[in-house]
Amino acid sequence: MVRSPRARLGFLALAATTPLLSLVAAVAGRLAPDGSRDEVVLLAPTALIPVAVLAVLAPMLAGGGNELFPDDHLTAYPVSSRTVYTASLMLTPLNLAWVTQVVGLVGLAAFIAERGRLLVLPVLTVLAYVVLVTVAGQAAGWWLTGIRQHRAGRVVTWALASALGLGGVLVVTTGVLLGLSALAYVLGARACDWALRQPGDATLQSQTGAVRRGRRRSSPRAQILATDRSSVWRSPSLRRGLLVLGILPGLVAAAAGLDWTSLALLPALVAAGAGLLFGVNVFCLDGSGSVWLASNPGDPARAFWCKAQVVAEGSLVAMGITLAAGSLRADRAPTAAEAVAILSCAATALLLVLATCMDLSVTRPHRADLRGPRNTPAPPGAMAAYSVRLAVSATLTGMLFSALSGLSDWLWAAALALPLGLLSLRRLLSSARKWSDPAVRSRVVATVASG
Amino acid sequence: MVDVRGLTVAFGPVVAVDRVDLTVPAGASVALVGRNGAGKSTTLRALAGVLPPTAGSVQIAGVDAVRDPSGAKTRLGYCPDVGGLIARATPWEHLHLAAALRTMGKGWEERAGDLLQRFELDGVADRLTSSFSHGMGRRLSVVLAAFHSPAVLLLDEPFDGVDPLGVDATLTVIRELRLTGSAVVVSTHLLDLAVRACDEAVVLERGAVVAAAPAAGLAGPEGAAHYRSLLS
Repeated sequence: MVRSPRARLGFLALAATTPLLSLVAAVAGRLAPDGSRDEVVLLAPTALIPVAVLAVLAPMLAGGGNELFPDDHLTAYPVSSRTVYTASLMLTPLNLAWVTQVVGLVGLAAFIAERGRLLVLPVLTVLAYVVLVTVAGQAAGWWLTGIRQHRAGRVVTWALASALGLGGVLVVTTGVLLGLSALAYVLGARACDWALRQPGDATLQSQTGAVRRGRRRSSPRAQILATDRSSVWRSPSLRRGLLVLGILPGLVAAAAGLDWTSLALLPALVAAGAGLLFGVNVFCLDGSGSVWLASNPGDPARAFWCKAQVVAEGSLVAMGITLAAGSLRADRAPTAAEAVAILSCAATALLLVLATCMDLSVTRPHRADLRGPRNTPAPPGAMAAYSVRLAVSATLTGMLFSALSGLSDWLWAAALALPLGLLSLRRLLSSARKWSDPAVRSRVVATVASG
Repeated sequence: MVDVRGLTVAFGPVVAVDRVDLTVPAGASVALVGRNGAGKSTTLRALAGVLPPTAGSVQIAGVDAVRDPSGAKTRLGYCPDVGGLIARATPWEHLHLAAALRTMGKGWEERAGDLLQRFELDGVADRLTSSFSHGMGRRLSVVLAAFHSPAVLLLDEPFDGVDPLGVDATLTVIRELRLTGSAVVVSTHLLDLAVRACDEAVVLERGAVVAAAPAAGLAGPEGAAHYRSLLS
């Protein structure tokens, strides 16, 4: 069939049609006057729907996809099903409706793309969307074809079609979403099975390799701090959590270009996140070593305050990175009220999170060794409760100081930070007093060291 | 060196240690033996200051452990029964920490290095203890308890899961410390090793002392039979 020069020329022309028309549409879109651009931008997302509908419906109605050769012609040849599927995809541009919609989308993308920026990226994005819906549509078509080979499958598809015909668009949509969820569950279970069977070389290597010997610290307190900091940084889950907590909120704040009033919300939320990493059960850093530590001399309060310092350091570093990254996109320097509100929020949140974490660590300890990448400092139920507790208090704190940052006088933020900070400090000192009781300490040690 | 009078440790209604009297003179060693749950580990934890006594008195090298827990802890070394190590610290970091907490001056590194070598841990001295086997962990716990030459050495199941070389090294450390006047208390299920390490054996049952006798009396099959009769 393709031996004929005319046929070959015809196919070449056909293959060039879509790219050529798309190029014309892109140029036309870029050159068109942009008087009504804002309205078009608002309506543009709806233009994505028709191509998706066509891409999904056409293969379904065609019984799976486009046919390059009839099945009986291929009987004698070892053509794989993947080849059939790929060939079907390749034939999609022969559908005039598909070509028309793709060309229209490219023109639309060129029109609404910001002037002065490269046109290639928006057009590529639109084309990637078209590829996605086309491939997904073909896949859905073949799935439907397979399902309809069975009587039960035909019953289900007719029931779905009837529901749609009776005006149940939402019913069908819900059904499709639930079906996709079930499929995602099956795929997720397979992915989990595969991931858990991997040997995990990175984790093993980090635990069996030699560590550079550090210098001896000048005081017991400095030595305890060094040990605690190492316990945090050498835990895969804590290390990953700190990196994500330090970098991600800052990136989001920088990308969003938050104003100073919005930025005032962040320190409290970031501090709460840092507390949840390990602060809510901070003595688990020592694990079974806490029994041996308890038999060593020294003021027990030192262990408490060193752990509190490590929690505070984690929160401060995360807050600092977030605020620094967020301030990069600010279009002006903060006013006095804004600056004081942000700093007051950070200080208040730090004390609040610290007080909550140390209270929980002393009164509700848990066994947790934090060795694996998915380990948490407390069981899932406890973590959920702690998350709610810290999130609510952090959000309220952030909202309060965010509101105060909008006032003209900076004294308000400072005045509110003082009593809130003192309340948290009082709770912190109360936890320290509890820790000074040998019976309380022995209970914490026994719990974190158990198992 | 260890003088315990009427030691009682209760967890609510459960009395884990019931009016235990124990005396270990300087240079002597006593084996604490008994069933699982007899109160051996709880007794040692109370002596080590990890658990506060509910009643009774504990004197460690002449220091009242209840009134001056830090002073008592300065004079003792303790090997816990399980774990006892900070997972993400290396043996040297444990030693640094212990030396700092005990405000030890220069010179401890030599003895510590020597002990690590004798317990065959010098090759892994900079590896995280989370990667250690159970036996390696036990051996390091003995090193941590003994490296500062304490006046009182408390060892809870030091031989559990330890190879013969590690057992010999532990017995040697016990012998050396006894010669320098330390009092040693060893809790173990392994009667033969209790006999080798200690002069006297104290049998605990349901938290109370039911018998005290020369450790040699528990040696061999007859000693084991005698021990079982004490437990029943």
